[in-house]
Amino acid sequence: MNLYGMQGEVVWYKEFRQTDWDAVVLAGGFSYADRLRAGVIASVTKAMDEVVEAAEEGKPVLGICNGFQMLVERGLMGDVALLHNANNRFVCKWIKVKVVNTRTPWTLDYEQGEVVDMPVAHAEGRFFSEREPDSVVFKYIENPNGSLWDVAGVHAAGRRNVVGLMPHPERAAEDVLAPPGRGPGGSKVWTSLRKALKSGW
Amino acid sequence: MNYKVEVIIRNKKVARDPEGETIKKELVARSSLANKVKDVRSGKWLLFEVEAQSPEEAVKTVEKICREMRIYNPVVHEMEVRTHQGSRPEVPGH
Repeated sequence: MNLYGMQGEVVWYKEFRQTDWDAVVLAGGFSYADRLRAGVIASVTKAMDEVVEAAEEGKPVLGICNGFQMLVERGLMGDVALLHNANNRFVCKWIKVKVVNTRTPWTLDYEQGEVVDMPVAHAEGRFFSEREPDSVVFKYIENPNGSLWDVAGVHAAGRRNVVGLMPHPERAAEDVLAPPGRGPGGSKVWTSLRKALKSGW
Repeated sequence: MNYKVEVIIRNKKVARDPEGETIKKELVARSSLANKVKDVRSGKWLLFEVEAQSPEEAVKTVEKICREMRIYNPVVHEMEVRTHQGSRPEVPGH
């Protein structure tokens, strides 16, 4: 597929070799039926060993929703956890998020503090940490799950090339995907990546 | 010898537990004995059957696996590992 001038492909996890790619997106959805905890079982697969390698080489890696849960469970995002939502339900709605760090390959096209629309769709997205991390990239304006400090997304501990978030920028990438009153708040994630790959970040 | 080892994983006190809260608020609260219940916490319970020389070794084995494989997340969970009550050596034919 050709998106925002970049060539992408959906890769079967058993065939994923990170050396074939310039950037990696762990898309949302479910893995292993969310058994034990969302993302924990996928986080120990060979495909995730490849993702860790890509992360260590400095390639842009993005985890969306279940992809974020995998990055967290793999331990890439530091001492944080994603717990069952505070209302104990699956939450599926459009919300506003604020971009609080534009120094990542996934957010460099946003203005610092820009507020944009994206949908969330998850049951285990309540961000938890003992103290507020300095790696926050996205914050909820409309906190849908009880996340501490309204954290919606973070970059990896000490690594800004790896970003994870619960909202879905890919489901808010174009006008046609946004419902009335909401905008395609995720599109700049992809224009950011294009810029980062083209001219560095 | 095989031993049964149970693992209880629950959120630390500092992390809210919506399932436990809902059970307390929506079910326990409707009971005639509700005033006796001060708190309800939910968690996950796993039962391992492990080959070991002693119950202590069986518990240690399970603890190690749970830590190594992140079966619990130390950031937010506390884990209890102990031999399963009533556990006894398996008797062949039973």
